[in-house]
Amino acid sequence: MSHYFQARRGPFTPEEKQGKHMMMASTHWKIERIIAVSMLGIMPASIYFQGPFWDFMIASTVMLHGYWGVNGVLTDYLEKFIPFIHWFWYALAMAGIAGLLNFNYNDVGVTKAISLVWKL
Amino acid sequence: MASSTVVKIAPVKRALLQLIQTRCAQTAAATEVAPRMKKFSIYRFNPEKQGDKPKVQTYEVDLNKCGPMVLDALIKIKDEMDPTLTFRRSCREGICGSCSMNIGGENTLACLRKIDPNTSKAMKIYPLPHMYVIKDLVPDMSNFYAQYRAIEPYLKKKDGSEKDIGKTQYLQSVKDRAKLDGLYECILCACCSTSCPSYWWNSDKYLGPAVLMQAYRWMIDSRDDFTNERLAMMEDKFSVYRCHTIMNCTKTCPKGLNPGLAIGEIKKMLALYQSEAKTAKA
Repeated sequence: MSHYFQARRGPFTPEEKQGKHMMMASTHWKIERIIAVSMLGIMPASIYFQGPFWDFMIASTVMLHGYWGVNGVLTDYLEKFIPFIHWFWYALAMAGIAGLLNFNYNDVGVTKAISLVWKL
Repeated sequence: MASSTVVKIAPVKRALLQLIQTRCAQTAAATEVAPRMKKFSIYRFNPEKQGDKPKVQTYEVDLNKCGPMVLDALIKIKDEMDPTLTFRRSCREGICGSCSMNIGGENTLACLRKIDPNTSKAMKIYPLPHMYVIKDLVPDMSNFYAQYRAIEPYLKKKDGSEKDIGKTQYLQSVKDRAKLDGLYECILCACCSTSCPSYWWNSDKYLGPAVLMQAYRWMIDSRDDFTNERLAMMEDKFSVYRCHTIMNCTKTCPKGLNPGLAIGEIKKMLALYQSEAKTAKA
């Protein structure tokens, strides 16, 4: 346990840096950017059109974007000290998306909720 | 008799004095210029002394008796005041990259940074930030050089063998050569890498702006055959993707280069290239 909170100094081999990811880092980066850019259209569109499809679109893209964003911060600052920190964040994000989907299926849905907040 | 002589000489003497004064005014030696004492606060650390802790030591230098650059002041201090002051320097004209240090909160070369003539403020000089300090202003560059070695910064060809090397020139069009401008001028002083917060936190895995710009320089060289392999080397979340376009690198570069742009270009190339692993999966 104690070695977790002490960062290992390099050098790291390319294999160590790559880890066991299924996706190539460049592909991952590309998908992240495509989703980030498409959110510029998805967010106003989902408020404008509303309905279950747009509920799902905004819930999934916002959660993915937020998940990757915070994951990047964890990689920057915490991963070298607490390598398992990603699993906590993964569980939290899963709970988040489950909550949002539950809200979409069993309640008014995200887009409707935003417009209701706006009405207040 | 004596008095008449005096009367005759006086106007001549006065005229001569006037002539000398007007003629020699510009070339006259300055009389008693007030010394301009400037304080230099310099980081000191001596590992050879048991239990020594880093401290800041202040020296006073008369700017009238010192060259215009910070390196001049450092050399003057070492020569005349404190021979134990340790720093790297070589060319004194910004082409060797030895005297990179943090001057007034900015990473730059001591030989290219003018001394601030405002004598009311001290000039603060520290080693490059977030580097292991060997002594005073000398940081440990071995990790930086190991990273540079890792990107294989030399021409690699696929055809031909070892013994063909040097038989013919590898020609390059003027346009292809122009692509290397703004990249090959890098002197690896590490000012940019050590100004990058991402490099501070992850210098063990993230390559840093200086090394990445050289990686890019070899990726786009029209004579090099290993562009895709060089890109494939970057396929992890640390080597390139710890760059968050903070752009400290471009701001601090004492040679006026743009490592931030080069990293952006690498990311673009990574997004668009067809690696062997990618084509194998498809």
